[in-house]
Order: sequence, then C-alpha cells, then structure tokens
Amino acid sequence: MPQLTVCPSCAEHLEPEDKFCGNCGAPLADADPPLLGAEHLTGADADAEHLTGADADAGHLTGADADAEHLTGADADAGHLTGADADAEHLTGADPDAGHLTGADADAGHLAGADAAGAGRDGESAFGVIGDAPTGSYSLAPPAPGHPPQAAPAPQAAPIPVTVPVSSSTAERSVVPPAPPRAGAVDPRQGMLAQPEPEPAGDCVSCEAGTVGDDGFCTRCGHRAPRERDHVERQLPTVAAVSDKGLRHHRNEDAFALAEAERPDGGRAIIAVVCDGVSSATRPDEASAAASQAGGAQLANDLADGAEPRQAMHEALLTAAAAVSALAPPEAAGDPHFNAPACTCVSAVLIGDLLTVGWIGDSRAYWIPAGGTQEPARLTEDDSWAARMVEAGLMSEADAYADPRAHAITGWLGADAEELDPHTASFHLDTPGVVLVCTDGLWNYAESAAELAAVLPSGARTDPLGCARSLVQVALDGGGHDNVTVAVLPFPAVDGGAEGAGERRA
Amino acid sequence: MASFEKPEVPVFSTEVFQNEYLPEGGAEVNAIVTVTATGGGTGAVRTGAPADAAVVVMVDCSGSMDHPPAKMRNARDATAAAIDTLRDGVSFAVVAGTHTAREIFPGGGRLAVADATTREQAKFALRKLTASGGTAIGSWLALADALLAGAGASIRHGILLTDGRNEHESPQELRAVLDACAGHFTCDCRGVGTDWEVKEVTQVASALLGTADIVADPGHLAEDFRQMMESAMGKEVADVQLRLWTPANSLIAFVKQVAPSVADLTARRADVNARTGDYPTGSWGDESRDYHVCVRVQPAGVGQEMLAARVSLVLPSAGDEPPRVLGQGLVRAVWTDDMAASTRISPQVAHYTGQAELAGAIQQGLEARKAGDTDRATAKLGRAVQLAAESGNEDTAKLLAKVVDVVDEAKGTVRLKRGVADADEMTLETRSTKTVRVKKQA
Repeated sequence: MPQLTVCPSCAEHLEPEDKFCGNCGAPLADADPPLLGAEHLTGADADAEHLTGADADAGHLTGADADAEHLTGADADAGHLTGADADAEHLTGADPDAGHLTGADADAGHLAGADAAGAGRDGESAFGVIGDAPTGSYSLAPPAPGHPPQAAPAPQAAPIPVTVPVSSSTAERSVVPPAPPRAGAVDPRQGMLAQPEPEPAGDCVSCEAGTVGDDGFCTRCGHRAPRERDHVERQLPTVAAVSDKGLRHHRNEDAFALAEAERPDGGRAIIAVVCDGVSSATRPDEASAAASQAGGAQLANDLADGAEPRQAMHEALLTAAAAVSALAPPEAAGDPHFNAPACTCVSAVLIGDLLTVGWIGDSRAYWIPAGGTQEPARLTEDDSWAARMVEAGLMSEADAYADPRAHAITGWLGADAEELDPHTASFHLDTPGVVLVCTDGLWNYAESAAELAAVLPSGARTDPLGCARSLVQVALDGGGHDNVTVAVLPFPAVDGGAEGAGERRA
Repeated sequence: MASFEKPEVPVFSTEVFQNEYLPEGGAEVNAIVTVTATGGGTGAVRTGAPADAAVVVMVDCSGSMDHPPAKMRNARDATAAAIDTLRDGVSFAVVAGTHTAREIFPGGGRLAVADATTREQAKFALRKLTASGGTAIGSWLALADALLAGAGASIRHGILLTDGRNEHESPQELRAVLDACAGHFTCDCRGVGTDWEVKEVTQVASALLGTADIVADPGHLAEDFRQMMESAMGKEVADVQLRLWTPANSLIAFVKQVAPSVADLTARRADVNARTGDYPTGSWGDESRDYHVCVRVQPAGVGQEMLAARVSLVLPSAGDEPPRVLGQGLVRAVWTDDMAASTRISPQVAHYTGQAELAGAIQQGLEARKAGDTDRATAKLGRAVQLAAESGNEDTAKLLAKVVDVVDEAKGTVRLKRGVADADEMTLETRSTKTVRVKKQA
C-alpha cells in the first residue's frame, strides 16, 4: 500500500505510521483509493516528478482529478480546463517535490482533500447532504459521476430539509442545494464547463476543480458559488414554494414566506407571501426578503389572533411596506438620486374555502381549478403601466403588453412609493384546484390563467412542491430571463402526509 | 508620558470603485482601488516613541556643484535643514557623492543616532562637502544600501540630490545597483539646476519607490529638504505589498499606482503562488493612494458573477508567520444583458485612465519636441492640455502653459512656444506623472 506523505484533506505533512491526520484528523486509510488512482495516472509510482511531468500535459489527466496526494490541485485544473491552462505553467515551474507543491499552492491541497474525502471516496450521489463536504463551507456537491451537469436529473429524491413551523409563526426558510441546470434549458454556465469528467474534483460548480473560499468565490476560477437564495424550495404540509434566480440574472431578488396559523376557532390559515425586488432600485434582494418575512409574520400573527382575513391582509401589506421603507438610509430621504430599496408583494391566505389575496405591484395570484369544471382565473390586477392603460380603455390588452413600458410598475413597496395602495380580494372556492402565487418571472412565460392551467402538471394538488418545481422549470425552459418564484396552495388543503411532503404533523 | 510600545501601525482601509457589470462576452475588468492609511503619526507630535527608522542623505559633490558656487552652499544648508528635521532616535548618515561615494558623517560604515549632539556634529561635518570629481549615482546608492543594511531599522530611506548627468558609470551599472537596492530602502530624489537628466532621476525614484522633483533654484533646496525629511519621518510602516489574487485563466493587463502620481507596477510583480503576486508599494505614513487594476478574465455567461481580483495590502513578516493583511478589496465581474448597466463607465476609472494618458501625452510630446518633430509635439501636448483641463489638473495645466501657447483648451489646440526655459520644460517632464483625484460628484 503506498504511503501518504501529506494529508489529502488539509495538506499537513504526515508521519509514515499515521492513521489519522495530526492536523485535521482525517482518516488516512480512506484516502488510499484515490492514491491508487494517482498511481494509475502516472504509470507505476506516485512520485512527484512523474506528476510534474504529467501536469505539463493536461490531456493525460482526464479523470485523475479526484486523485491523490497534493499533486494535484493543479492537475485537477488542467484536466478540466478549456483552452490554455495557466496552471500547468505554474506547476512546471514548481518544486518537483510533491510536498512542496502542495505547500506552495494552498488550493491544491485543499482541493485534493475535498475530492478524496468527498465525492471521490464513495461515488456520492448528485446532492450531498448539507455539511458533508469536508471543507464545510458550502453544501453543494458536484454532480454525480457519469452525469454531465447539464443533463443531471432533477433532485426529486434529494433529501429536502423542511421545517414545519409551529402554528402562528413564520418558520425560517429552509434551503436545499441548487438544482443542477435543467435539460432543455440553455444554461449560460455551459460555456464555462469543459467536457464533463467522470469524477469531478473541487466543490466549485463552475470549474469543478477549485474550492469555494470564505467569501463565496472559487479560490481557483473566481466564480461565485451558488448562494442559498439562488434556488430555494420549501414546503409545509399544505403549501409549497420554489424560487430560482433564473438563467440571466446574477442573483435572486425574489423572496417568499410560507406559514400556517391556527385560528381561534381551530381552523387553519395557510399563508403564502411572494415578493419581487425592483431591479433598478438599491438592494432589491434585501427589500423582497424583508417584505416577505414581515408580511408573512404579520399575517400569521393576526390570523392566529382571529383577525378578519381581508383586514389582516391589508395590515400585512402595510407592515411589509414599512419593513422595506426601513431599509432606506435616513440620510437618503429626499435625495431624488437615491433609488430606495423596493419590491412588489402578493399574498394568499386560505382559510377553509375562503381565499383572500392581497397585492401591490405586478406579482400575481391565479386560481386553477382541477378537471376543467371551471375557467381558470387571474385574481389580481397588476399595478403596471399596461394594466392602467387597459383599465382606462386607452389601449387594447395586446397593444398595451407589447409596449416597452408595459412592465413599468405603478405601485411598489419602498420608501419612495408615491402612494401605498394595498389591494385585497376574497373568493369562496367551491371546487378542487390550486392557487398559484407568483412573480412575473413565471407569468412572463404563461401570462393568462388558461396558459398557466395548460402547463400545470397533473397531480398539482397532491404534490404542491413538485408542481412549483415544474412551473419554475417552465420559466427556465422559456429562457429564465428573470428570477422565478411560485407558491402553490392546493384546495381543499391537503392534510399532512402528501407524498413528498417533509415531516408529518403530529 | 513616555511610551515604549512600538509605533502604531496605521489602519489601512480599501475602497473599490468599478462598474462590475460587463456585457455578454466582456472580458476586461477595470477597477480603481483607493488605499488609505490613517492613525499613523504624520503631523502629530511624538514623544518618547522609539523611532524605528534610518535615513541616509546623499549629496552630489561633483565639480559642477561649484557653478555657481552658491549651489554647494545651498546643498549644505539643505542637508543641515534635513538633519534638523530628524526625529530623536532616528539613525542617519551623510554621504558625499562624486564618481565614488564617501562617508561624511558619522563614518566607519555606521549610522549615528539622532540627538542634539549628533545633529550638531553632523552639521559641523558638512563643511567637508566640497565640489570636485564626477558623478556615479550607482556608487552612492550602493553605499547607502550597505549603511542602511547595518542599521536594522524597519523604515529605511534615502534622500538623493544631484545636479548633473550620471557620467561616470554606464546605465547598465546604475540599473544593476537599482535592481540590487530595490526593496531594501526607499529613496526620494531631487535634481538641482537644469543640467541633470530627468529620466535618470525619475528612474531612481521609481525603482526605489520614492518621489522625484526638480529644484530649479538652489535657494529653495533647504525648504524642499526639510519637507522631504518631514514626510520620511511620517512613515510608519515599510515594505507594504499590494497583493493581487486573480482567477485561473485570467491575465493581468496592468497594475498602476495612479494617485498621487502615475507609476506602472505591472512588471514589478513577485509571484507568491500560481494565482497571487505582490507589487511593492514602499513605506506608508498617513496617506492615501489610488491603484488602477485591469484584469482580463474568461467571459462567463449572462447572470454569472466572478471575482476578478482580490486586492489586499500585506505586510510580509519575518520567519514562518503568515503575512499580515492590512486591508482588502474585491473586484467583481457580473455579466448582464442590461445594456444600461454594462455601458456605464465608472467615473474613477475614466478619470484615472485620463490621468495616465495625460502623463503619457506630456512625455511623448516633450520627446517629440526634443527630436524636432513639431507636428507630433503639438498634437501630443495639445491633447495633454485638453486632458489636464477636463480633469481639473490645474498644476499640470499651468506647467503646460509655460511650454505651449494654449489657443483652445477644450479642443486641445496649442502652439509650441519658442525659447522655452529649460527649467520649465524639465519641471513639466518631472511632474508629468502627478495626478489629481476625482472631483466629488455633484
């Protein structure tokens, strides 16, 4: 059995008899298989001089990344790179002693360690459990061996941490690792990826060779690692939502909150709040997060206290607006050049058969009845230029929405909102169906209620999370030009144990 | 009350100005990094803190310093003024420079420690500064290097005065000495009169990370020396490195200091590892400098975000300790299909791009003028006038106006002056790299 000279996890130098790394405690026996890989790679010997020779030739290194001793942060680079490889040069100039090599390039040791202890060891599935990565810095594991990243399956079977809130509180948002790029959609990240390797190396999803640093950027290729908010999924027993940053925006400025509240009469209120940050404003991502949290919490509280739903909805929109206004620095008040944080907000509350919606801006709620017994319907009227034109009878709907100004919103939450005009409406539902609450990132690709009904998956009522995922996919397949968020509330409310739901309620 | 702690190291803050948004396929990332050191001692009265600094003053004593005789006398007075400005406890020496270098004070390959007595002794020794012989600046610097090496001080500085061309050694010899001294100590250089070579003096100052200037009138030397020494005494921390991390497969187009003056550092990189390199910035007191970093990255898809560079100020430490990071800033790249975002130009980047062009235009214009290429000189200096006016660089505009007649400042229309004083031309050339900072946006 070849002897390790440095720890594959942290690059600490080892004594010949060590069974565990003296620095990070990594078990060293586990690292053997990768080491064998290294031998395979270099012929017969994990001798660093051989490796140095091999480094210069990136082509030899396919699949070798998961290997070995230090050697190879740099190797891993080489194997995955498209185009010229700066690393190969550096490597050839480096000391041929493997130990030195690792020492000289912190990336290298780290990287090799991540592989050996993570994906390389047991051929992990596409989605690592959070915290599994030895670096502990980010939860996303590389795609499964044999699956090109852009063709990886959707993570239906992935463990989804779900928090079921106690009644009348807004639970913390749980997060699952971002889904891999979907088949069919043109993923701009594709350009950064080389030919998929059977055994990817580091935890960076862009170059697959580097590790993600504390600041969220890959220490090798510099790409920002996916952030928690890039793709968020959550479900409660009665409602689920998915938010995705889409394919053309660099961050997710949408946010949502889900909650359930127990009414004084024992009934249950199901709450979904969806917000879309105004991109042209400052810190829109913070605006949407603040609004959804504040609005959701207010609804849950008031409804648990027995408030009348439309009144609660009205109050919640005001509370959400105040939370967004509070984000604007006081010194910017009155400064016409300062674009205060702003967002839209749409909420739905289902209590028994009574559906209440409330909104400001152009995020929407739809009612999609099951089985074609009723016509699907949009339940909200946008605060937008186009909607105003149509409403005023100045333009046809087709003309108004074709105008470049169509999406300019006329109502929003924020310190610079001219007038705060929360809209609310209530409906009695008398047939099974689902309520969709979404941002324009979705409805841009299925504008009318009928179009949405057409793309709604069967089983939407029994699997709201699957339904939300599927609708987000529709937007991504359509181009994913904006952030996409949709919450799905089945009616009648599913109680507990739907297939795919997280924990059952006691 | 006396404090025996080490002098306070200033606090460094870093600010990054850039438009991080790139269009699809965009690869070039530009950023201005402003580094400000505060909390050091410049201007403040220091009592009791042991001064961890050493200074060597190199005075040209070539034969030409006697023409006019006042020049040598002024140089002696200036050196005396510099000595008077030394803080107690600072190690110092005076070197007379001709075709060789000679220790004037204290002698014996040592430095003296400044106090009332040694200051008087040094000033008395200045009578030994007499003009005779040639000029070999490299030999002066080599002696200063040897003296400072023995001092063991963390701030090591030289002040060099010359009045003539470096005639008694080859440019290669000077280059070799500069390469050997670089990083050992910093050095401010002054040319007195108009018989010296601007390029030689600026070359020394730039290699040794100091300032270069002209003192056309020897009568102004004393005040200039006093100021130079004051600024040297304000330095709190030496050997600060600008450390740049860039991602794999990227290319550093350039790294320049752009304020208070333009200095291209690109070629002075010392690799730390595959993706990290250090650029020397010398010593810092309470001051602020701007750097322009330009990196070419592999374009990523729209919606992607990348760290194009991590800029930090680090203080290398002796031994095995990791270097101390004094400040850090991130240069980002975000690809977007929003044209409004990607076509915006950072005012800071635009300003300093203009200032760097201004310095280049002056240097090229003066070169063309010397070569008799009137058309090119007129075009280049005209462009310089225009850039100086646009950016509000009034000092440079005034210097330009002594070399050209300005017809239309905004259009850059100028006529070359006849009979320009050597001092005016040399002043413009020496100070061509001086920049002004971005005006506050209304």
